[in-house]
Amino acid sequence: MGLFAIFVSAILVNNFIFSRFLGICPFLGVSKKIDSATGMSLAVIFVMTMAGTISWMLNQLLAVMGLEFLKTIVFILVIAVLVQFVEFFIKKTSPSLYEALGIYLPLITTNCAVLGVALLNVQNNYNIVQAIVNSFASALGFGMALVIFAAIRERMDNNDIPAPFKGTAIALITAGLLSMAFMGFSGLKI
Amino acid sequence: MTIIINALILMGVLGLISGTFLAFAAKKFEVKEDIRVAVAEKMLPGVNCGACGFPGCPAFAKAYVKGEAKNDGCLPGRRAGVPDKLKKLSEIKDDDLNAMGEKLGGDIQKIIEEIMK
Repeated sequence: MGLFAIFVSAILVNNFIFSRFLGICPFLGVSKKIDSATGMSLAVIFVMTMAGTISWMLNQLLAVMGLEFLKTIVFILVIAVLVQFVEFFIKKTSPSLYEALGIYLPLITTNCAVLGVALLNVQNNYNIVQAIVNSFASALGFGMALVIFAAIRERMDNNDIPAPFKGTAIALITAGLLSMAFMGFSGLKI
Repeated sequence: MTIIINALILMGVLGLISGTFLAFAAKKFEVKEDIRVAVAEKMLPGVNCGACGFPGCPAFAKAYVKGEAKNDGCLPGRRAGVPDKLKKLSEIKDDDLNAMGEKLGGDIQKIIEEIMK
């Protein structure tokens, strides 16, 4: 598969949130404001790209040593280290963003989309360039979904929503509608 | 047998590398925190159980200093005398606490001992 195909497929066709349904926790948790959604997206893009790249390299090492069964735990270790690093970095550079992200920042560790991209790279037998492109594009797709959803939710605040639908209920319905819209990309031929 | 040894070596080396990297990163991106929060955090048991309703001991310490949490909010610390310690911390003025911190060279444990005297 060509790099462009991988790129488009990871962002639109196999979008992590709207078609794979991974990483829903931060998607609902940090999408109340567009600023924190952007910050979260950037953090996830960094963590996912780095995690995808490093885990691909470590997987080669594991294959040589005959230790493929340690894949999951090694990948989780890499992700945890990267998230911790991002946490230090954001705490130092932008305390307000640190406050806004709150508990969702350390929770990137348990974001299944990050582990998902690491495992998918291995499963699809990607080479290093393909793995990097796939990780980056997946993260970009995740960030895009988050920002789109946050923008919609910000607008929804100004609308008169019937009481039973307020809050999470209307958010979940909106997410479902967005997901259906993204189904339109599933027939895309590149 | 070789697999076990290989696995042990690999995990050990990876752990060591990650630990060293994070230790350096922590030093490089160190943020100077409010000394009162640091002292309050050190007074807590540090088990991060979440029974107080905050995500972990650091969050509880921050909330307590802000006045959003009560001094007996920490469940595991109740019998260990944490409420008393926190109460005494609140009674100290900012200037006194800062002076104490400077005198003791920022050693949080010593500051707590000084407060409890």
